[in-house]
Amino acid sequence: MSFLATVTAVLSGLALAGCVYLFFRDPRKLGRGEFVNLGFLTLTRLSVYKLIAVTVMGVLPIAALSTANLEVIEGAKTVQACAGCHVMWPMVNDMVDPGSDSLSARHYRSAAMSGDQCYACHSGYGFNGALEAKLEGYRHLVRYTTGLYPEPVKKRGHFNSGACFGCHEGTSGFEAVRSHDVGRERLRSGQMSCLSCHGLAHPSRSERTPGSASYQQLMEKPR
Amino acid sequence: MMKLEASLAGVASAILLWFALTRSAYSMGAMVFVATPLYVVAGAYFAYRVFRELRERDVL
Repeated sequence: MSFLATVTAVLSGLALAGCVYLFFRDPRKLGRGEFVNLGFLTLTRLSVYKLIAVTVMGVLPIAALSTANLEVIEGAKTVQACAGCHVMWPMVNDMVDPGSDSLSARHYRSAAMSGDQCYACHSGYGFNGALEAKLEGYRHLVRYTTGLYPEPVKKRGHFNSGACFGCHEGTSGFEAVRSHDVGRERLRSGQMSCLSCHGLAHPSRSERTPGSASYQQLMEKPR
Repeated sequence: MMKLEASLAGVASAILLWFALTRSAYSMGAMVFVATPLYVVAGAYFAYRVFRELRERDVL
């Protein structure tokens, strides 16, 4: 359990306990003459009730929602987060398979990509790229939780080759290949895809279609 | 008594706790699309009641 998830659990647990207290406690029965000694402060029982109400209805929800959303934003970058939805299992299973020759598996095995491999390719560079990826993530969340998606899933729009250029352009290996120079502008504009020469990044749609020969194997829960 | 606000915020807190403990896709969806609006509604209703009470007492 991550630090943010632990903090969220503690805050939401406190908020839940406070809600139970507020639900059953009748403030009209709290005597104004009764005092509660908090050590450094002495308050009437009614004041303590009001303090709890403000904390439970305002402070704790804001704090808990902040940590929870931060956990969503940060946690969504991991491969485990992508594997949280079963429709992504074929991609994750193929990527972590040492015998796979797909582009994602080859990148996964590379020492240059030490973590968050899904996010590294599926988010653009800079703040805008990260923001687009987050918005896309919320769209995925709606589609997945409501079941509004057909299997096999299909990527919306075209994959932006800029994600490939961000890491590869300028490297000696990339620049040494003549066809990269010839097709650079076409690759940049999206007229040509890196996948045209380098093969599929993930299992094909036919492989991911329910009933296909490889479907059962690809749909095993990733470890 | 604060039965309505406490109920709404209680459900939202329970969803948040579920998300923090499991971090599954469904709990994440419930947290974003159910718990957050519930907290907002509960907080807004609570604030409305506080301001109404303060007005009745001529504090505001």
